[in-house]
Amino acid sequence: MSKVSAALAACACWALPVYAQSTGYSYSLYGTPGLIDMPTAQSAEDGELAQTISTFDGQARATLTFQLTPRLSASFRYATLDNYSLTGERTWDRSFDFRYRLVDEGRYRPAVAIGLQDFMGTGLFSAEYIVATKSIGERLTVTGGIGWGRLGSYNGFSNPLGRLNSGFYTRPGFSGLGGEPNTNAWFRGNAAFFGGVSWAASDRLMLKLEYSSDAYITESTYGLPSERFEHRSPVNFGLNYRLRPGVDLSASYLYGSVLSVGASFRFNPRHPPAKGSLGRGPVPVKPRISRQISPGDWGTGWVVDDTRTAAIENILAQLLAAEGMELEALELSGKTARVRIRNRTYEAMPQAIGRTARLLTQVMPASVEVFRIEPLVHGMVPTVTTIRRSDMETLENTSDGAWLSYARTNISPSSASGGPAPRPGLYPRFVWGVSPYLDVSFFDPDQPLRADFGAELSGRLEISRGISLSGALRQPVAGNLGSGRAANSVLPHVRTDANLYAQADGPLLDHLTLDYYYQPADNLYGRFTAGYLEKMYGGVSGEILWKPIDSRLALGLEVNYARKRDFDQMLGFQDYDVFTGHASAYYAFGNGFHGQLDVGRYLAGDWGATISLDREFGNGWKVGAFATFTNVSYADFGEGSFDKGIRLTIPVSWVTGQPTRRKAQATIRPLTRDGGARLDVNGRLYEMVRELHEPELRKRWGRFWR
Amino acid sequence: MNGKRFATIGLMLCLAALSGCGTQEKDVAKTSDPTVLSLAFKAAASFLKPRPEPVDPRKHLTRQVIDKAGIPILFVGIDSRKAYATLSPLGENRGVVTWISSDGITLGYRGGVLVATRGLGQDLMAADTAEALAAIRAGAGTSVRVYDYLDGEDQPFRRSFVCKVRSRGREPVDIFGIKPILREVVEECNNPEFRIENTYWVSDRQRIWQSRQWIGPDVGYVFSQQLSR
Repeated sequence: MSKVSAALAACACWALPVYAQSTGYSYSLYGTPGLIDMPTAQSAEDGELAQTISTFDGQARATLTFQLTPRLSASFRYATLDNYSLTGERTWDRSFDFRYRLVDEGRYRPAVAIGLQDFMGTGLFSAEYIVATKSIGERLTVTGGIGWGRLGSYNGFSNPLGRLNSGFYTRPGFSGLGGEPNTNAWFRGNAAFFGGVSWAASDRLMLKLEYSSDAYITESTYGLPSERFEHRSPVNFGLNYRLRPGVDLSASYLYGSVLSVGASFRFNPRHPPAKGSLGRGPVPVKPRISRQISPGDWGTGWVVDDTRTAAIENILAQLLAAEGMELEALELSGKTARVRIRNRTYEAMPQAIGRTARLLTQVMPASVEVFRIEPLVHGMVPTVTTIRRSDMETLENTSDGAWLSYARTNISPSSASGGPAPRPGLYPRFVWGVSPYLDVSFFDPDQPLRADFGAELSGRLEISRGISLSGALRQPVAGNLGSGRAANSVLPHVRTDANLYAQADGPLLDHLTLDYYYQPADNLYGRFTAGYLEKMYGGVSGEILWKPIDSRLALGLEVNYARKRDFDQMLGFQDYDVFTGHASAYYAFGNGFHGQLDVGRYLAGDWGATISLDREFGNGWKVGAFATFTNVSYADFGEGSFDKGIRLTIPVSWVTGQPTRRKAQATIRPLTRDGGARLDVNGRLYEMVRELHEPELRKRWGRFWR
Repeated sequence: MNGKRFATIGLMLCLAALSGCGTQEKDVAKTSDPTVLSLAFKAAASFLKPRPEPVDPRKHLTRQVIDKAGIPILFVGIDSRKAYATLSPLGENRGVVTWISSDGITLGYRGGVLVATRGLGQDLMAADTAEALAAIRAGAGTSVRVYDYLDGEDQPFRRSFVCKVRSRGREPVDIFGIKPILREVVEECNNPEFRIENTYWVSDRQRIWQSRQWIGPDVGYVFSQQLSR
């Protein structure tokens, strides 16, 4: 285990960027900007993600906090508490926080924030607070606040809000299955004051002193007397040491009885470790010899010379391949070159478009003035970018070239049908690869982290434009996912049989599908997938997407028939089958936020809706959350009450600086249950279409000249 | 149950988040590329492996080799990256010559003044150096120069500087056996954030033989020297 830890530590250290510029705040034991155990009104730098780990006296808290907007932060916490029940057993708990900075700090005015801590579910840490923080000089901050719930438990007084409504005087206890917002408890019960100071002794060392309003009542009550938490004093002392930018260590002496240690790792999607691209530079623009000097070059007679055009096509294909792209089709007229390319390398589509345009200046005869570049995704052509060659020549090294080139590029939709034929010999083609895989499961109370590791053989046969056969075969090598908890769901076990699937020895057919993509009409895109769709289901899946090129809104419809696969994940099926599908609306708000609403029928036959909200960064990072509400009652759903989770998408190029379209994607669910579960079909349309549409193209056009 | 196991969870979360071990990429066809996980392994391995000492290519060069090369050669050194290389010209457009190293890093110079880099991380995307070039050639004067970059979210942003140019004197500089007499011209640029100093060694015929120029705060300065006659 220690070797694994060391390897993971090495991996994590590598992955941690060397950039984190914020000063003046540090993370508390709860993993939010704060003092030691108490919050402050400070916000982290916009976009910052912080992973904090802290432990003391049988408790440990791991928190992921995201500064969602400059004012709003959200936290997800996984904690364990010893002795947190009458029987003295260890408990594992997931909790969510929100904090909103209401008032910015002024010359005399403190910053003021309101926070909800552990605002839904069992509420082990549940508290609400209003807190003010003022910095005095560059090194000292002073914080004072009023708290409810846990933060109103020491030296509390009658709730001042009770004057508004006597209901505020009493705080109801927790009941239910967890997962629901405890609105009926917020700001109720006794209130208490808390506060403290932090002093930056140096650029690296911060000292903290606080008066806590948390009496640690439950921890002091349950368990054997010798193991109980002892609350001897409300005063805590702590220090925070910046090991290196982005990595903080903390130590503190709590409640006159225990020592705590912790660490926080923070990074910001806005500050890539590589600070840009470390990949090979583009081939530059080759200017034409002027018409006055060499009028012969500007004629269009070459168009009828088949040897010449074949040579142009050949060289262009080689140059594109050298830059990680593929030439799908080329159509030449005297003045226009129409090229269809596949971008296999660049995370940002404009980078592929810009590089293609530069290569065209290298090979096209002087008479060709217009470049029509049509990137192809799964045989579809969501956009046509028309670029003038003279603009490439004049803007290549011009100040403000990115914006000027965007302004002069014509971005238009492609017509649904037709276009140049693929180059002869392009189809069929086969690509394959062998790679390791890792499947991870979090938050099983018996073993919070489980994983399976193995090898994957994947392949893809492209039969013709838009039609392909793809599959992956897996051989697990080691792991413990199979010993996970057995399902106890009263719903059909559409997802909770994961442990049974993981018990298979392999080889496993991860997926094997025939995929067809097409453009049925203008602004419409279609997908048809059939076969073994995913690990647990096979069947057929059809999808249609409406997305005009400059629209922030897209609408989609997906209909599937799915049948549950055998646990051995070979060719057999089980008895359970279901028609499932969704109508979806996607909307790019344009301020870095993206929303999605899916309404339909889920795998267990339940009807409902999923709402998702993502913050999307200009470099391809996404941080989002989703929640699904269906007609399955909270009681039938079981622990957690409804399906919800957070998700991250990280371009690998952000970490390495090397051009690649690989993305790391992680969805973290506090619990995976059977209600509100969706089919996991590969290659849904929206993401592949929208990266070639507005506003994405505009957002990423800076990479055009990269 | 101890803190160590908990630390492992945290690191795993971090790792899963950063390398996507938890889920596979779904919307891009798998090809013979390595997956994210093997990329992570490779990166971890290269992190642990000692790096070879950088080699200065000038050690292996002689005047004879340079003269026989048949193409112009530019020596470039970036101290912050411990990168030293000889570059050859890749193309010229509107007075900007783009030079490329064997590992694909390119630098663009307009009349010897750096206007673009690619492949260095926070690259100089473009630069407005029209005033600067005139002042450098004159050996005195003031100028405004503008540098274009992309920020961490790939959005363009610029840094503007006000520069003063002065000459320091002339002396012969040895470049592999040829000793042109060069005037040292210093360009001192300021803005509220940075103070930078570019240095150029210019011949009487206004050729910038060598220079030390600022790329940006991350990369620092690049030294370049024209080796060909």
